[in-house]
Amino acid sequence: MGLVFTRLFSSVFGNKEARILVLGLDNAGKTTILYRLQMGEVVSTIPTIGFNVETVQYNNIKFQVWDLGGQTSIRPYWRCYFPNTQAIIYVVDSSDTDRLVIAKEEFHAILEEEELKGAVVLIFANKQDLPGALDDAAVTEALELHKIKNRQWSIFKISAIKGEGLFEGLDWLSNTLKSGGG
Amino acid sequence: MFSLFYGLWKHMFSKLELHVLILGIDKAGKTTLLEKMKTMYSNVEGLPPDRIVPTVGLNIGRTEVANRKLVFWDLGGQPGLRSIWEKYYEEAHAVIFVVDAACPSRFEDAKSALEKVLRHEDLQGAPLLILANKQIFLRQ
Repeated sequence: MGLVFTRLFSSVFGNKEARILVLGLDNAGKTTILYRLQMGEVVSTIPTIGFNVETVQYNNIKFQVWDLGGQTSIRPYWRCYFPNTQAIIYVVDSSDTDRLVIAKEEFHAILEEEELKGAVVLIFANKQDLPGALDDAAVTEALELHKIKNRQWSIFKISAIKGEGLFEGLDWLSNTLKSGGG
Repeated sequence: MFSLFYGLWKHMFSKLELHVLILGIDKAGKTTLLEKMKTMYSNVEGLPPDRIVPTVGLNIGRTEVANRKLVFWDLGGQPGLRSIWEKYYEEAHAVIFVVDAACPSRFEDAKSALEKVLRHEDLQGAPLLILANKQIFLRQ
């Protein structure tokens, strides 16, 4: 009964919660993005070993954002966080063209995961402020995003340092989650 | 053994899933169409037009018509993104091509995009539905 009221309450007031994982290779900018979203400023970060988690309230959705460390040795632990995830934000360093192949492989491995089947996918082509950064079409090509056919996805050019593009991405995410996701 | 029979059962009785691509140049109204169809033909409430942003990726809509599962793939139409359209052709069964009928200055762009779609061998024989969208602006 309590559950029914909670549901009713949240449907009336439109407050939704969503669990979101921020994934990507090391040095892609995941932690910078997390704190850019949460505090609106750039913090100096060190490589994440483990995770950072913050709650970001945006467009009537409470995003519980998990930023997981991206180094090779700790990527196997990502899967511990997969259950009950509504969305994945996959962050790519668009200027690190040498490692885009690895980024692609890790990305498609994540998509294979049973527990993430229902999750919608937002790709952040980060570091657009750097010279030589690939644009959204080129990153789409490099990550072979066209292989995704059974869920919604979207890619946004962003610069976490400058704060550009992040909230456009979050707009898409909140709209997509509200309209029932993939 | 069980999974063999289950697979066979599923194969025989599962509904056929048909993929419909929604294509067209940017600002034609592809996503608005998709969201409207979601509202009309499924139990999911689609987004209102004012909340729709340009698509840079893939939107999906699912519905059932005449015992068939229809899956709509709505792809972004900006020039740089059109190169990924063809990656979806092989698995597509039909195409809806949306045109902004109220914007003659972009007919040429739409025409060449459509010609490119039709030339592709993976789409030979696939039915094509062309929608002349935004009639409301023509009447005014």
